[in-house]
Formats: sequence, C-alpha cells, structure tokens
Amino acid sequence: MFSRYLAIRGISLAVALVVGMLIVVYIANLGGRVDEIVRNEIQFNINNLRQNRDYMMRLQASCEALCGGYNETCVKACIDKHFEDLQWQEIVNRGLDKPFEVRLFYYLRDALTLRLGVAMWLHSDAGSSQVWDIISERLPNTVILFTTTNLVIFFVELFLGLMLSRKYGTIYDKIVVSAAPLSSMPGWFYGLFLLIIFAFILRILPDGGMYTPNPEDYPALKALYEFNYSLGRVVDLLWHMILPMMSWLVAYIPIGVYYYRTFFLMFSTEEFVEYARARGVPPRIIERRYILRVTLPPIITSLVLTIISSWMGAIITERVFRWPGLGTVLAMAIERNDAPVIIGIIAIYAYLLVISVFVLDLIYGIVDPRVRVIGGERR
Amino acid sequence: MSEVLRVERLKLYYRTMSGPVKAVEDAYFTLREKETIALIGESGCGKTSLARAIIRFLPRNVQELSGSVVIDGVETINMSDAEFNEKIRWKKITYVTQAAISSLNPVIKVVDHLIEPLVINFKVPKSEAVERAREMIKSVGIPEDFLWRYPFELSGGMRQRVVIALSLITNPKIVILDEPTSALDVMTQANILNMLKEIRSKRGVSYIFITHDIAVSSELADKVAVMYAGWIVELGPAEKVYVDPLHPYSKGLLGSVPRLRSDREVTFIPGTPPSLINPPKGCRFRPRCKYATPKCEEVPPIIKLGSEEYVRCWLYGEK
Amino acid sequence: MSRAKRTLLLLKTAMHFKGFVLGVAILLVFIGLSVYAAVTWPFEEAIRIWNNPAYWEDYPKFASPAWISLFTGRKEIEGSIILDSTMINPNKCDIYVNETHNIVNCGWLYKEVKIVQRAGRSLLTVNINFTLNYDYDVMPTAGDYRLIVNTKDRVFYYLSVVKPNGLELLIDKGQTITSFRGALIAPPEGISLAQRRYIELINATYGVQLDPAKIARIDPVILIFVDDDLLVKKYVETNGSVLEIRPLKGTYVFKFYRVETMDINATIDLKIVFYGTVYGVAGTDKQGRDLFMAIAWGTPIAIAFGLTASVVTSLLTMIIAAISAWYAGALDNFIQRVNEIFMIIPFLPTVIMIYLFYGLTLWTLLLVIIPLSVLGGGGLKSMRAMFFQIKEMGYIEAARAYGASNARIIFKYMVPRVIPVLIPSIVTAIPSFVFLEAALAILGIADPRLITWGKVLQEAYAAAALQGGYYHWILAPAVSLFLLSIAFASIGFTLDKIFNPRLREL
Repeated sequence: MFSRYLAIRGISLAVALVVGMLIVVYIANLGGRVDEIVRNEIQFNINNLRQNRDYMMRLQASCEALCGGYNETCVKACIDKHFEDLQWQEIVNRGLDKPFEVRLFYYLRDALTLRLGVAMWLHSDAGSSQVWDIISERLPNTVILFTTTNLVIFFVELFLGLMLSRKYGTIYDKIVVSAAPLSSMPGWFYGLFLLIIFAFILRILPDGGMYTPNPEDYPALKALYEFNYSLGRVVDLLWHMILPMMSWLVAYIPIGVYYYRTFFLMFSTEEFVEYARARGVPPRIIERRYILRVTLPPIITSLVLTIISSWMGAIITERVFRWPGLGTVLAMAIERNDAPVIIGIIAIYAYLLVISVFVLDLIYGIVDPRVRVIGGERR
Repeated sequence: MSEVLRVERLKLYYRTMSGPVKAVEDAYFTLREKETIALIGESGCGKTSLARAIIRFLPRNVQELSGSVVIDGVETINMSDAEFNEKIRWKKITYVTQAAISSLNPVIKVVDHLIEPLVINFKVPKSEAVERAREMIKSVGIPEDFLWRYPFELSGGMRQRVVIALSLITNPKIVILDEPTSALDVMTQANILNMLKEIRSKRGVSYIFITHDIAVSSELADKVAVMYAGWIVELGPAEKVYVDPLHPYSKGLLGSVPRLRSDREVTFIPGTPPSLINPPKGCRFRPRCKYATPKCEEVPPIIKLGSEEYVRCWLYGEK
Repeated sequence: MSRAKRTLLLLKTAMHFKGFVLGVAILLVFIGLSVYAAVTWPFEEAIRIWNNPAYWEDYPKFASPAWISLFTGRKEIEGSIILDSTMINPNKCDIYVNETHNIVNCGWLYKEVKIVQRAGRSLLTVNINFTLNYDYDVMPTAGDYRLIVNTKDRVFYYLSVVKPNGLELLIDKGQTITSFRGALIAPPEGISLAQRRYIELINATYGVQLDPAKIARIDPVILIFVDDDLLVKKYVETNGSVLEIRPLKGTYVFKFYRVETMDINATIDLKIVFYGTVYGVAGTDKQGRDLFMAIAWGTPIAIAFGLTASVVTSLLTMIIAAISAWYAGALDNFIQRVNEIFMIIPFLPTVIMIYLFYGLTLWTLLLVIIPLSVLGGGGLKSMRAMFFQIKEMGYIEAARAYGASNARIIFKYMVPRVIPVLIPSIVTAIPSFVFLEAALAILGIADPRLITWGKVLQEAYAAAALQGGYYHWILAPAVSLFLLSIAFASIGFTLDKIFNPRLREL
C-alpha cells in the first residue's frame, strides 16, 4: 500500500532528522568545550570589573554602608560575595548551571522546534542578536546569487545535454566532451582567475561585494542611481553578480552537460527507446514520452536537492567574492563557536532537506506507477 | 501470390575499434504473401542483423549497408530515413523483439502503446484507435481489461503478446519475429505459435521468423534459410531442408537436434564460429567442414539447384 | 586473456585518446617534480627551511618568476644583490695582514681594518668599499644594510654611495654598540636622513629644490640608483609635478668610512642587500620564500592526499554498499538510515567544526573527510543498486549453492565485478579532494607544518596578493591545481569511456 510505504518513509526520515540534529548540536557545542569558553569569558569580564576604579569605589561604598562602617573582613566578604553572585547570575543567564548533557537535550528540542534563540556573539547588521534575524537578513543575499546560479546551471545543462545527446558524433559533441574535464575545478577556483583577469587587470568588473560602496565615484552608475534608485540598485547588483555567476557557470556546466548528455545517450540505447525508434515514433515524442517521462523523477530530485543545498551558500565562493551571504555567517559562527547560529542554520537546512525528500518520494509515487503499485523498494 | 519482399546481395558491416565487422554478406531470399521464412543458425551468425537491416533498426556504428531490399515492389535500400519512416516503417513491415520485457515503456499503459502508431503514423482519431486496440488485444489472447494496465503488471508471455499485437495493429504485410518465444516456457511457446498461425491465416501476413530453435521454426516455416557467419549457406523449402539438408553446416546443425521418436545419435560440429572481423579466406565454413577441399579456399558462389533451392557450397558444383 | 594482457590492451586503447595522452604527460611531469622535490629538499629539511624566516632573509620579496623578463624585455634583477664584507674568498682576494693592518682587496670589496693611535688612545678603524656594476633596467624592490658588530664600545660610522655620475649621497651615519639593520624605505612619517641629504645634494649639484613632501615618499633605495640628470630635467620641465624614476647604469661605490671604535678587538662587518625583482621558476612570496619549492613539495602532498582520499572513500563505499545489498533486511535498512543522517549533516561546516574541536593534521583531516564522504554521499545509494543487480546473477547463486561464506562471496565475486566501473570515478574524484584540501586551507584549516598549494593560496589571499598585483603568488598554486586536475580528469574520462561497457558501444 502506497500510503503505508509513505508512512514508514516519513517516520524513518524523522528519526534521521533527530539523530542528525543531535550530532550537529553536539559538535556545534564542541562537546562541552564551549562551556569552558563561556565561563572563561565571564571570569574575564568580572576581572575587568575589578580593575574598574569607579565601579570598585561605588561597590566599596555600598559594602561599607551594609557593614556599618569600615570593617575590613566584613567589607571584603561583601565584595567577594557581590562578585560571586554576579558570576553565578551570569552563569544562570547563559544556562551553564545545568549539566551539559541536560542542556544538550534542551538545545536539541529547541532546534527541532525551530526555536533558534539568541546568538552568543554574532549579531545581524541591523543589530539584532536573534538567530532568526541574523539568518533572515543574510539569506536573501545567498538566494539571489546562488539559487539563481544553480537554477540557470541546471536548466542549461539539462537542455544542452538533451540536445547534445541527439547530436552524437558531431563536432559539438566532441567539443563538449573534451571540455568536461574543466569541471574538475570548483567554482571559487575559477572565481580567482576571473577576478585576476576582469577585476584586477582589465578593471572592468568589480572585485567583490554586492553593491558598489561608493557609487558617486562612477559617473555612469551615479546617473543611473539618480534616475531611479531601485533601478540603480538592481543594475548594480546584477553588475556584481556577473563574476561569481560566471565562475560557477564555467565550473559546473561542462560536467553537467556531459553528464546529462551521457545519461540521455545511454538512456536512448535502452531497449524500449530503441524499439520505439524502430516503430517510427518521431524523435520529439521519443524525447518527451520515452526519455523524459521516465527520467523525470531523478532529475527533479536532483533539482530540488540542488536548490536546497544552494541555500547554505558556498562558503568559499562567498569569501573569494566577499559576498555577504549565509555562508559567510556560517563560517563566522563556526570560527567564533557561536553554537546557536550554527545550529539554527543547519536546523533549517535539515528540515528543508527532509521535507523535500519526503515530498519527492510522494511525487515519485505519483509519476512512476511502479512505485505506486509495488509500494516498495526505492531505486 | 505476389512477392512482398525480395532481398539481394545485402551487405551489412559494423564499424568497431578493431576493424569492420562483416556481419551480413551477400544475403538473398524472397518472400511471398502469407509465406513464412525461418532464418536459423547459431548465435552470432547474423540472422538478427539481417532482419534489422531490412527494417533499418540498426545501431549507430553501421559502416556499410548496401544491396537491394524491395518491399512490396519498392526499392528501399536507397531511401532516405525520412522517406523510409514515412512509407515503410511500421506500415509495410514491423518487428517483434526478442526481449519484450524491456521493450515496452514502463510508465505508459498498454493501450497507449497500442494506439501510438495508429495515432501518430496513421492519424487515426483516438477513439477509433482504442477500438482497434481492443480488438487487437483480444486476437492475441489477452483479456481486454489488461489494456489499462502497465507493462510490469503483465507476465512475460503476455508482454510478448502485447509486442506482437503492436506489430500487427497497423496491418503490415511483413512481420519480423526475432526469437519471439526464446524467453518463454514451452507451454506459452506453444500457445503463441498457435496464435501466430491463426493470425497468419486470418490476416494474410508474411513472417520472417528468426530462431536458433529449429523445432520451433519448423512449426511455422514454409521456407528455411540457414545462416552461418554472415552468409546464407542454404535456402530452400522447409520439407526439403529439414529432412534432407544439403550444405555441410546444415547437415551438422540439423543433425544436432535430438528426435523424439528415433534413436538417432546426436552429432555436433567441432570448433567455434569464426571472427567476423577477419573471416576465413574463401568459404567461411571451411575450417570446420569435414568435406573441405582446396577448392574451398575460393569463395563458393550461390548455386541454384531447384526453383527455390540454393546452396553455397563447392560440393554442388557450378551451374 | 590474462589479467595483465587485458590491462595492457585497455591501456593501448586508451592511448588513442588525445585527452588521455595529455593527462598522462602532465601527470608524469608532476611526478618528476615530486621526485625532484624529495631529492633536493628532503622532507624534514624542507619543512624546517620553509618555516624558518631567517633562511629567506636575503631573498627578494614578492619577486616575479625569472622568465617574466622574456616578456617585459627589461633586464631584471634576479635574486638579490648581496654585498657582504664577510664573503672573502682567499683564492680571489689579495690579503695583507700585519699587527696593525688587515687589508683585503677582492675587486668588488675593499676592506681595511687598522689600529691607529689618536690622542694617546688606540682606535680601531674600518673602511669598507663595495664596488657594484649596476646595469639593470629596473630598480630593486627594496634594500637594507646591516651592520654586524661585535664590540664592547661604541662604533661610529658613515655610509654613503658614489653614483656613476659622480654624485655622492650620504645614506646613514651614526653610532651603535650592537648589530642592527637599517631598511632603505621611506619612513611612515616625516623624512629620513638619506632623503634630506638627497634634496641637499640635488640642490647643490643642479640648483634645483625638490619638493620634500614628494621625496619623503620615495624609498631611499630608489634615490640611490636613480638617474639624477633625468629626474631633475623632467622635474624642471613639468614644474615639479613629475618625478621620473629610471635607474642609472654604471659603477657604484658604497663607502663605509670614518668607522671607528675604541674596542680594538671589535669585529665590524657590513652587509648590504638590494632585493631583486625576479627569482626562480615561480617567484617568491612575502617572506621571500621560493614558491617553486612550495609548488614542488605541494605536488606529492596533493597527489598523495587526493589519491588516498579517493581510493579509500571508493573502496569503503563499495564494501559497505556490497554488505548492505548482500545482507539486505535490517542491516540494509540501518545502513540506509545512517546514510540519510549523514546527508543531513552538512559536510564542510562539520569538517570545520571538528577542526576547531581537535585541531587537524593532514592525516587526521583524511580520517574526518573519508567517513563523512562515505557515509553521507550518494555513492552508497548507486553502488547499492548495482550490487543488487549483481546479486541476482547466476554465478552468485552458484557460489551460494556450493556453500561459499558470505565474506567470500562479497569480496571475491561481487566486489571485483564492480571495480572496473569504479576506476574511472576514483580517478575523476581525485581533483575534488585536492581542491577540498585547498579550500580548507583557504579557510585557515590546514596542517600548520606542511607546505601545500592550498596554504600558499591562503597566504597569498591574506596578504592581498591580488590587490598588490603579485599575481604570480596566486597563479603558481592555481595553475598547478588547474593542471593536476585537468590531468586526472582527462585520464578519468578516458578510462570511463573504456571501462564503462555501455559507453564503449557508443
């Protein structure tokens, strides 16, 4: 029964989600080391306070008042107690009073319910410490660049691959096949080369960032901004998107086209496709009904998964181009051991992943009758 | 009865990295209305290549396809692909594959398979096509409601019948059956052969029946062509060839079939079929032939012995 | 056909493909480079040298590769010009020693150490002259002079240069009791002695008053070698707006004079270094380290890392997939779930986090990457599917029938079947691991001791090499990465065409 299969699938995915998140939460907290770091920070702050003369003088005064005069032992005890209380207060505030294992559970629960809380050290550009704010501030930047790029790459490689599989043996085919090894290098790598050529030697494209920080220095841009601010922003953005996008296009399209071309080629030698040809079925219909219909499920799967992983941004590409996206936030959070942010980003990613896998299974069932009827084994 | 197919001097070479494979050399036979010719021979002798060459169901690495293939009075060898597809393919001649299991599109229902050639190639309106599909599925012995199922829901035998139905639904003159029963059990085999006989008498279609199973072919065949290493070494009426084969290879081949009711000893031919990239000089069977003479180092011509009897062997002299 | 003969035949077929040949050629060059590296600088030594700034002291910084001069057409300074008064070659120098005099004359070096009496006291005086023939088309990128003194009493000194056009510029004067190094660079604020003296010199010689603000920004090393005639002419022509800097070719004499100290046992030496513009095959980095060494030594590390990671990952994936498919049932389910869990855990962030947890050497990096790749990759799913197909095959059933153990079936029958299909993907995957290491290095996650291409990239990026125009620093590792990847990818693609049976037909 298909619905039973779906139910089992749903449960196992949920289990995977929980276990996965648990591992992430554990690692993000460095297995408890973050606690030490936080404790040290609290101690450090307190030590600073002790050096602060004004603060100490006021504290001295109030303690003297409490002790009824200048009673050395009493005042000292009062001061020490004050700092102990302060320390304890901070510890409680940061939640360090409970043992790590217990807190781990709470972190997990919060992550699973997407109560992402407050960042330990980072904050959004607007000043908020709420993890949701930090994420939602940076997310659009990443989406604008990477999701777009991934979509473009996907559709280009799919259609070129399909087209190319028909033109097997021609010069175009040979060119693409020999260009495939170009994709053995990641996008950020091409980014470096493109930056050197276009941004530094030729100086016709920006060397990073999302917008021009000083548009007044560029007359064309200034004019555009004055004409229409939004238009200016859009053009500026597109201008800055060119290099990072190009680096990814060059890096990932060749192998994508090669892969789909080979995929469709091998597919078109499938017995039933060849047989359809023998029956005189026109090529367009073969493509649509025999090839695409059958291969659509895995293709859609990879499209959806690609979109989801693009969401996390590509940490290195963002660094090379100084693109203020989610990847940079993640990298910063990791560097600073800001566990809530790390967990927050990964939790959202995990949920999206699990949900789409589930939805894809559902779609698989609808599109591929074999799955529906047999309700069984996923290929 | 008129001639529906005439094949002469048909040559098919494949291109491979080690050189051209001479898969079919100098093939020749004719087929009349309602006639069935059986192409028999060992695996790899070229029977499938020959059949596929006739209907142009070939892989990409064909180096040469030449000769003469006249289908229903029209020479097709020089036709462009477009012309062939429009006039001949699946209209005059169809093809039943060996592996029906993998020949049907898994995500399309049986009925859609059947109406496809009608709707696309003949522009028949869908409702009419569905009617014809209904009728067709019944005549191949499958209950009507299986029309609305998917191929994987059918058994092997049923799928084979569907493919046969597919091949008949456009009313062709010739149907090529490429080992249609090899993947099936004996009972289903018998059923399908019976069905084929019925259809032949009802619809007047000619068969090219390819098989390595000699017993099966003898059920349907009017004529027999024995193939070896890309050659048709013997061609003649079924009774003659099965009972009294002429070519040394045919003798060996037919001698290797055990008889149910006699105590005859089963023979075999020592050795293996030759490479088709570098076939032996002269007669391709010479290395394994116990009657070989020095003359056999020359390619033996096709010798006509009777009105429809041909042999390719020096033993039968030159005529 | 035997296994060996079959492999040979396959290799012969591969040779037909131009991509393959090219890839193998590049790979052989890299292997040759690795051997060269290992022989020239044995591993421990290489690491020691690389991490020791003192070793690279005299090397030019940010130098471009030497062969650049073919394109610029200028005569570049290769390496550094080193004038060292301790570099006395007895065979090539005239030496004259007695109780009070110690004179060395090597042509380019004239060093005179005398003990004299003045006002009743003994004084040690030193005179050092360096004669330098300068015929380059470019200026040195930097320069410094080092006084190497071992004394108990103050040493006074003057240092000046006599240029080919006769002008004498005072570089420095003063006193010291320890060794020190003076850099011939423009001070961040204000104006240095040499610069001031230069302005006076030009004024005295040409009667032209140069703008102190402009001169203050020019490194003294340039003032030493600049063609003064040209400078002044252009300055006057353009009314003080253009300072035309061209090197003056000819013989320079550096005078280290009026050097005296009361410690007559003191040793006083002078070393002047002018840092060149080009060096070696790949140039140098900020510390003057020869990038060729980094490239050469990075090669075996990159290849070893990529190869190990790729092979081990593939093998492990294969074994786990085989076990998963063979035993099916609960074990298979479990492995599938584990796979899903690891797919949820994002790869790169996790590696970074583990690095922060434990710190990483190159090999522990492998220990992290490999399990994450194996367990979290899509390879498991596809190989598992393949093994399911194989499981149905007749000979597996036959093996079961004759009582073969599960292990035997898996390792002797199922796994070898899949290996030919694996080989191309192993080769094609190597570059991605090499790049992974580079990417991690760029993020700062690297084995602190080792020299890898990624580290070079990271250092270049941190030093803003692109902005500074030191493209060679980024290009050296980048081009190496590029070539190595293309090599492996070409070989891999060709192997794919050969080993993948479906593709062979095409």
